[in-house]
Amino acid sequence: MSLIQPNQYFSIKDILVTEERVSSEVRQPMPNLGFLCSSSKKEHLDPGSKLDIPVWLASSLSSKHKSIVSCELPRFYKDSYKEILHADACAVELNKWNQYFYELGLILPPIVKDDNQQIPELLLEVFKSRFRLIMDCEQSVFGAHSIQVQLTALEKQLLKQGNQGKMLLINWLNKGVKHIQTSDVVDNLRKRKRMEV
Amino acid sequence: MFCRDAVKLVAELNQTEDIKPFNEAVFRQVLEEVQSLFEENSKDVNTITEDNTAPKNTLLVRHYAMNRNKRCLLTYLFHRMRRLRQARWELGSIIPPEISKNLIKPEAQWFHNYNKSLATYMRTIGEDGLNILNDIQPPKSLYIEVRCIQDYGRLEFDGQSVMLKKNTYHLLPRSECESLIRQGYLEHVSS
Repeated sequence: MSLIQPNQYFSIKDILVTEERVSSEVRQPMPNLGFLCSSSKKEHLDPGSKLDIPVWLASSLSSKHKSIVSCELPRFYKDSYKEILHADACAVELNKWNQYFYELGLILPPIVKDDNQQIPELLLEVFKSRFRLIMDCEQSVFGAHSIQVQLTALEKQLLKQGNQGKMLLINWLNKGVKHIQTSDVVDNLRKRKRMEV
Repeated sequence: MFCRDAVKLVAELNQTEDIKPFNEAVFRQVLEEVQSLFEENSKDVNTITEDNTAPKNTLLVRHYAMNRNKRCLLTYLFHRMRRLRQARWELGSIIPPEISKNLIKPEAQWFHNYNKSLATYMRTIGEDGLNILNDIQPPKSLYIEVRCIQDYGRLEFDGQSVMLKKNTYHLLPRSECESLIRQGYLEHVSS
């Protein structure tokens, strides 16, 4: 039972999403930070040098009034990959592209300036077509494992919640005496013990 | 690149919902990173002049890195605390050694204080207190049938006592054994 919903600041997922890298180009000189660019041995970062920086840094450095760096879209939001998704989003192993495909797509547009208008539509379209697949997978007992390998973090979460919901419904339909369950914490501890033995 | 270590802590949280041993080595490394970032910044801040504003960018980068580190550390602490509180609600005031050995001193202290405030609060409800951890689901019967799946020892209630040995069945008042079921000593048998 969680009493407080962890907000954005403490959100584990949010931190992990913003850790993804984007390639960027330095626009203003940054003295003493040459070590960030592993290919050059210079002491300072000069305008024009390219480096991969995490999204949290990119979003702070490329806001409207100060454009210290300019960022590029990751390749899997670009046109060639879009065509793959348009063809059949369900056949793609999306988690190999990026574990946080949707979340990243949502935070990138303000950071990356060029032709990013279509990302939200792309995400929506991909999600819509894949959502059916997840729903089907929830309802059927078979085939659940084969699909899991290609789901992103968000979709896995959905699948898990769907399964839990299904179990709750079945329990409710069976009614009877409310059962007291062993706590999940204890269950996990037991599994660990069994492994150690 | 900055903040590599700090993210390790957060990734560790993401792996499991358990309370793992406190990762003090990495935690300390991150603190040292913050310290060195701060020192470099306070050194460079004097080099900014009217015509040379370039170091400002460097300062910004380091500043964001510090904030990021801080966020990761606080998240690490926050989620451990959240899990500890959850364990308190599910397992009661005494947590198993598997968890308690993974806590550091301030966390143990926090747990102690949390126990205390919870107990104080429960004592203020009604005339002689109410255990709000009982009856998380609405009870349908006063007595339930349970099977003992782990040796517990003697359980005393209302002047009676019962020996809880492995693989024995008992019909017990629900209020007495609810916490034992959640702790995994008993199993609720469907009737």
